[in-house]
Amino acid sequence: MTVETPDTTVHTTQAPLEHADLKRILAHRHPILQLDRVVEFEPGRRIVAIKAVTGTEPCYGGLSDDAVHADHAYPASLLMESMGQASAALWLHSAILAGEQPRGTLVFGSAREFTIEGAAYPGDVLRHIVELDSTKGDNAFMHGETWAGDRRIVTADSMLVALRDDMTLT
Amino acid sequence: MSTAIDRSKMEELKEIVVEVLEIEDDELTDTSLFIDDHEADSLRAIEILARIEKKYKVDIPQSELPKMVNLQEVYNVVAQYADWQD
Amino acid sequence: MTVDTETTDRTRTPHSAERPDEGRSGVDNAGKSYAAPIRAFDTLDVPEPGTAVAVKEIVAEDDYLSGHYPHLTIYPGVFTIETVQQAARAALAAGGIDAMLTDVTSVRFTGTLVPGDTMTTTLTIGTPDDDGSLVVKARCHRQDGRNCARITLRLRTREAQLR
Repeated sequence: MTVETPDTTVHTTQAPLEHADLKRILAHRHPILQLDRVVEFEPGRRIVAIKAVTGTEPCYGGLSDDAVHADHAYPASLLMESMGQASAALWLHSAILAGEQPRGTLVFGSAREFTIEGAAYPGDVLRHIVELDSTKGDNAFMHGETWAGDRRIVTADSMLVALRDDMTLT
Repeated sequence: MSTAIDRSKMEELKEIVVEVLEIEDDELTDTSLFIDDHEADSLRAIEILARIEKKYKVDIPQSELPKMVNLQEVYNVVAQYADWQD
Repeated sequence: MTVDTETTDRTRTPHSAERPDEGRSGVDNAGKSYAAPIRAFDTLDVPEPGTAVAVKEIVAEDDYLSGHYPHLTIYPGVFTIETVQQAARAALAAGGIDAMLTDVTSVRFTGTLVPGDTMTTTLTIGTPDDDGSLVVKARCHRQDGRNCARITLRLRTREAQLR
């Protein structure tokens, strides 16, 4: 058996993070932890995270029997939360790998041109591809896309995620 | 730092600020104050900073933020870091 | 006109179904009319066409909030967007327009909301253009007057999306 020198320099695109790992990175918990697994990760650069949509999620509870297919579109707010969490995971996990200890409460600062091009429905698997544009102190800027299978359903030009000590946000 | 103002650079900066503050072109003057006159907050300031850094590929420390109260002051700070002076 | 969750009947809002005992049975067909994480406004006032005021009291018991976060409950920013889009859709539905969210053009959060806070959202709702698209602008305030969010959304009529 050959013992290889452990590669301590890079976590390449083949470093998946499971749900349990995500709970160490993000403070979000059931039922608002809107990511299932990270399938690709390039520190400081890019993340690919997936989230399965199911009809058992609370957002589908109490839906009228009259509701047609389009009424079952996964809510835009939860799509955005899910992509926001992928952004936060990219930023925070990169910081942790770089030996930093991110502190504070994670907040969504702002977003621009989050365009919904299509819809996801129960049974779809969302795939968020997010890239880090820049970080400035406790603030990080990202952009990304969300896919449902081979359909791109969201593009987001700019998202600002921030860590804050207090609850004022400013 | 009282070098001549490059009007085209100033216009580029104005474009960024106007977009982030979500105001009209003619509302922003060189000296109107982001916070007092245009309801800016620290998040907007950081967004302006990040966009400038991206556009001009410069690194401006966050400690410069308090100085960047209006377009003129933004120009002065960016000019210093982007080496616009001759 | 006041659109209240108790009195609104068949407008297209997730609220019309807030008859707690029946809505959860799964057989009652008076449920919410589209998928939504929570009922994101308590009352909606439409003083005149094109404007609306929605009020939402932040309660820790709302769905999803237990996980955001376990140590400190904060109303998620995206739920403020949910408030705006639900209020806009309900106000439009009251005028006979069925529209869906297509674009979060711009959103900026400037104040946090915690259980016990009341958020008042003032909406300006445009009219559909030739493409069925319309713009909604909203400002959200906390009971102490603090600005919580500024949001611009784009909605499109379902009719236009189908053609």
